[in-house]
Amino acid sequence: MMKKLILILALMAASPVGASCYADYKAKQDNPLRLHYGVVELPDSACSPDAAKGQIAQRIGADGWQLLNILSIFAADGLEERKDSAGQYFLRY
Amino acid sequence: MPDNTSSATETRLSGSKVVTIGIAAIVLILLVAAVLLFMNLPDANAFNARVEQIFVENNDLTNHAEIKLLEILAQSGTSFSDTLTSYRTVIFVLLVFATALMVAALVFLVTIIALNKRMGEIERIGIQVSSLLISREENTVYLNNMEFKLTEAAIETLSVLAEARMDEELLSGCEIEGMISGRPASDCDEAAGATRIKRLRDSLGNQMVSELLVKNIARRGYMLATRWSANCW
Repeated sequence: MMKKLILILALMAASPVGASCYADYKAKQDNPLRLHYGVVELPDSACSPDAAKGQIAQRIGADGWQLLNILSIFAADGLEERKDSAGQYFLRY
Repeated sequence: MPDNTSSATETRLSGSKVVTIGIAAIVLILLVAAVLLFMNLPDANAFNARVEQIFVENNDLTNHAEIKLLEILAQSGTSFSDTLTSYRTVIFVLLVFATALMVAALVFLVTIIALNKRMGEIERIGIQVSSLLISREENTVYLNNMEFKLTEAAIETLSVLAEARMDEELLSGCEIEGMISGRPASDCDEAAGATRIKRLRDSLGNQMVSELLVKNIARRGYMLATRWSANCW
């Protein structure tokens, strides 16, 4: 019983609460030009493309990244296929 | 009434005006060319912008390796843009050289035209004496390095005239005769001086015309020493 509870808690920790959609995006840094492809999780309120744009730009902007475009907004089942491509930027921001 | 005469000073004036306008035009044209050249050279960010555009436009360019490759492309482009900066300097230096050469060419052209006009005038005026050298020992006078043999009396007359010329003086026939013969001018005959002048003119004039116009080629004959175009007139 106790073990099961811990397992559930661990699962809940792994998939954060309130994350109902994900987005993949492209971003850049100037001088010298650096590019990356990343995946972020978004709260319910930011699942529309316009809202997601503001959210992502703000989050990656803290590290000096500039959002170029958002490719898609998808549910949790699309995470696995994007994990390899995003690499270190998979759910980083 | 239109003025159909021109003078040497006039050509010199218009010549300097042409030079000024020409130099201004050359500098202006090359300046415009330089500005256009510098504006049209791609700037350092052109490569980065293009790489960024490729990255955004292709949705399947998400692989980590592919992105790394794009970054390397952009970096090589940036290093090439450093080369472009040095090209800019080279182009600028070449433009400055071109300006200098064009200005020099224009000045020479105008100088040549002015000289041609002057040559024409000198030809029309005829012989101009720029140097006169009298050698008493050899009884010879050199006019512009042309050698003329004279009699002793003619050389005396010429020397007297040359001395008077140096003092900016005019001599009457009496004074010439007096200076040559050593008698006071009041005792001399005006006609005697005039005769000396006539003999000098005859002998010198004869030799000058045979040197300049009616040439004698030894054992072959005589020839008018003018150019063909002058003969045609």
